Amino acid sequence: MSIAELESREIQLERPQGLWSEAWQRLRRNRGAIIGFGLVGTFVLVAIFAPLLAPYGPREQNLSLVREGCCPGPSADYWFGVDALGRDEFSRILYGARYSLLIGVVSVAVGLTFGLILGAVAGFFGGIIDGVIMRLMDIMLAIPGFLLAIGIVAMLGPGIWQIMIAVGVVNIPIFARLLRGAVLAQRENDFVLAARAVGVPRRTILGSHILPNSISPLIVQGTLALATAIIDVAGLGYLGLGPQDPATPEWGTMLTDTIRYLQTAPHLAIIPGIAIVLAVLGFNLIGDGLREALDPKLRGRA
Amino acid sequence: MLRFVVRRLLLLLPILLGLSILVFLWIRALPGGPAQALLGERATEEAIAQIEREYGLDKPIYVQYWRYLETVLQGDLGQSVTTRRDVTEELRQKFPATIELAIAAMLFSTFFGIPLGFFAAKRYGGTFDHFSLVASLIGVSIPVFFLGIILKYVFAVQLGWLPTVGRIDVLIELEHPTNFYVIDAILAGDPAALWDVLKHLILPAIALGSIPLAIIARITRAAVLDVQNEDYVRTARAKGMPPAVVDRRHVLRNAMLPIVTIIGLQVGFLLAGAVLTETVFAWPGIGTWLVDAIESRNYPVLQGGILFVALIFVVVNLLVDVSYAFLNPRIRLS
Amino acid sequence: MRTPLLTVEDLEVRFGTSRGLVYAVNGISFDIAPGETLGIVGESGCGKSVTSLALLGILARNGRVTGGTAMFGGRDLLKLKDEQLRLIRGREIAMVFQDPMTSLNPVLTIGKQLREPLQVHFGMDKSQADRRAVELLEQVGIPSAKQRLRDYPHQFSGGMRQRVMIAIALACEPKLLIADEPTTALDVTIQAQILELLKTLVSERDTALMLITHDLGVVAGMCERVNVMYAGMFMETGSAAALFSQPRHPYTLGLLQSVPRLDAGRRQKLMPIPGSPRNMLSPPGECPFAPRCRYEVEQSRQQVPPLEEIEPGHQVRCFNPVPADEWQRERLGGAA
Repeated sequence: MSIAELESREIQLERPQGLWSEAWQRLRRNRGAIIGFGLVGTFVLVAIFAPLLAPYGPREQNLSLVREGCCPGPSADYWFGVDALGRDEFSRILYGARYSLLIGVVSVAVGLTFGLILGAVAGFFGGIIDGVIMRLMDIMLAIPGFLLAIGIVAMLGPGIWQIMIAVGVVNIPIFARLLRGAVLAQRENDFVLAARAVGVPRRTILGSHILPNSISPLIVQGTLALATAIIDVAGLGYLGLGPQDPATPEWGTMLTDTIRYLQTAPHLAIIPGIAIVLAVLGFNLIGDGLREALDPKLRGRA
Repeated sequence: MLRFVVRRLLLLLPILLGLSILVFLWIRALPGGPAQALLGERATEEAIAQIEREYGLDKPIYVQYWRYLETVLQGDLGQSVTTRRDVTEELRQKFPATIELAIAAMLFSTFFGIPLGFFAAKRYGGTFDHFSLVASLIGVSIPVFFLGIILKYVFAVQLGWLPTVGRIDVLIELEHPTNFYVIDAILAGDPAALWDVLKHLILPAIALGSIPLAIIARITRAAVLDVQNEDYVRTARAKGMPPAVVDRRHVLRNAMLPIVTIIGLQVGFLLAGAVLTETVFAWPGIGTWLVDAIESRNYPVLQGGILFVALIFVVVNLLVDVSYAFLNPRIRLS
Repeated sequence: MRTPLLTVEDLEVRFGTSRGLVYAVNGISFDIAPGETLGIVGESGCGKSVTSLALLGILARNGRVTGGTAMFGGRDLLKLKDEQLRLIRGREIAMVFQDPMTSLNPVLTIGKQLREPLQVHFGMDKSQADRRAVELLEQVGIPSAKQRLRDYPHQFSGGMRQRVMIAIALACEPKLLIADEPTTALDVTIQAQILELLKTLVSERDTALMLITHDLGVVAGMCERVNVMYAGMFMETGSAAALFSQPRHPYTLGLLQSVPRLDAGRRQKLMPIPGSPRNMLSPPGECPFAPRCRYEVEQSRQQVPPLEEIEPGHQVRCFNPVPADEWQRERLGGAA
């Protein structure tokens, strides 16, 4: 009997699959991630279809409701109650999803793009370029993120775009570090050396070999960064640094000044907060699930 | 070890320098120009001219920076636009409140976070473990200020068990030699005052510390799980060591290394979170100071606050690195 | 033949994994007498390490002993509670593990790690324990023992660390020492030294030694008796002399054949064992080696062959054992 025949009679454990399909399998089995997808899915749908779902406009005032003081709580007509200017909380929450989603996504995109470029360049070219870029990142990281965002907003002035930029900039050093680490780790890998030995230009190596392998930590970090971005944006909004038009239904801004009404109208503080928590929780669940799916070694072993 | 500390200290300098450059550039980028930023909108022509001369705003930029550095290092951070007092003076008065809060929050988060994570790891896969994971996930998803509002609503407004604002009851008389109210109360030998101060600390500390608690618990759990699977733990068990000793001397001692690093990172979060927490509880610390400064465009205060916070953060990170090196013999002895 | 120190019968160990149950050990029996050296040989994953961990009750969390007995000192180790087993671990049965770098706690001094078993089992105080520790280090050949007590594992070389591990294991004068791949992680030159050391120490103390390894050369030099393990079962057991001169099981023959020989001709082909180790996710229903075996017969595919004595002191688990002189013929004649 030849060896080849013997080999073909081997019992296979199971057919190996690609990295992505295996990861997808694991993700599907993760209950937390499923809940996360549910939450985020709802969040996105609400944001998109707000005009259809909301019974009232987000800025529609009905001052007669608050003539006797603040503020009517949840009722049949106004599911989440009414705010100090007679606006329907429920509609405002629905529209608010748009702001949180938009601001979150844009800030992370900004941070990701610039961070990616800086990190990849630093990691790949090394030397002085690496040193300079990383020193700069260290300095940015020397100020706690939220305070850095405040500083940037102070410089740019308050407003929606400004907070997007601020939160985005805060994310840059995080992604830069991440990608630099991944690139450094890959750079010495055999397949990279092999590509260079064959004469593949560095640019191509970076794009076709290194970057695709660095994607998994990026995906995880990106999702978690979205979660943090929504929290930071809400925080900036709460401090009054967000959209300057107080009628804007941004969740964080909706929480400003609600402390005064805790006794009489707690729903004004509680409901937007819960909305924020659910959205952030959704992204955190997905991020965690992705982290576990893409690298199960990270979990405690059985 | 000494070489390690010295090396880290030296690395600190360029970061601090870079920070000062960043803040310097930031001031010059503020709306209205640096002179107006430093003086406020109601500045007079002559005041502006004087500032311009003082800061040499007509000179080349590196000269300006040098002058700036000189003044900052001398401790002159300018005057608050609203109160006209030295920023350094106000800083000195207000920072104990924030530090006290931050320490209380840190104690809360480590005191409960580490055991939580440890027991979750020990009961891996069990109900307690799942519960702790869920709790941590929710914990990191709650914005600090919202948590503060909820705590305030439940415990102060509804139940009335704890005070709603401030550091101490207005009716209590207390001398403040250190401005750390807990210490002041102890120094004065006044248990009633001490109790009152502590009551005021509880809610803000919990609000601020809950997120670090969630993070510390998760990291502890992960670190303990990892270490438990290490070969040397198996060796310890094979030697016949009692489980308690294995846990304490072999598992925890090694798990502390990553945990300490994470605790250090939390300090940054605490400092940033203090800004938000203080506004909810009207806590008279740096946080409220900065928030008011933002609203009133009080840039000297903002500058002072940011520099101070960054300095603390950097120093704490250094301390964390040093303690990590101390705990890890491989670095300690090199 | 002295009365056995440890008698294991029909040991079964399983692991619960996300892919299903792993049948790691499927009914092995052996015994070991005081002062005797028993070798357990097999490839990675055959269950040899799991056996020793199961005896001491330090299996991984998802491992379970599902059958068998292990009589030691009149008690069944497998039925003892952890608190009772703890008193035996390190004191009467000790283990030396494979990788000395990871098997020693990096944040504790060597002295501390040596003192631990002495303090726990003998109640020694620090100075007594230190004195004994210095003795032990000297016995395993570590110079400047007294100063070295205060050093950390990373300050020792690989061979030195393994000596320390041996010192720790012998600290309480155990009756049985289990060495799981003690030299695999070491340089070849150091390997010989460590094995010599082990040999000397156990003969001086009349300690029984269970040597677990995949390296035939190690076994040949050290062991009186050898058990060949595959897929969680013993395929052949007997004296080292018998197994090395007249292996009867195709697997044993394959192992001997696959060792490249320095005196072989240049054109001589290497003879690996074809195929790969058995998938352990199902209990064995046929001869586990059959898929890779040149000598298989129809019965091999239908049931698991029982372990039977083929001559006094020599057992084989095979429906079609290799002829007694096969190995000698091949060795002297050249290629098969």
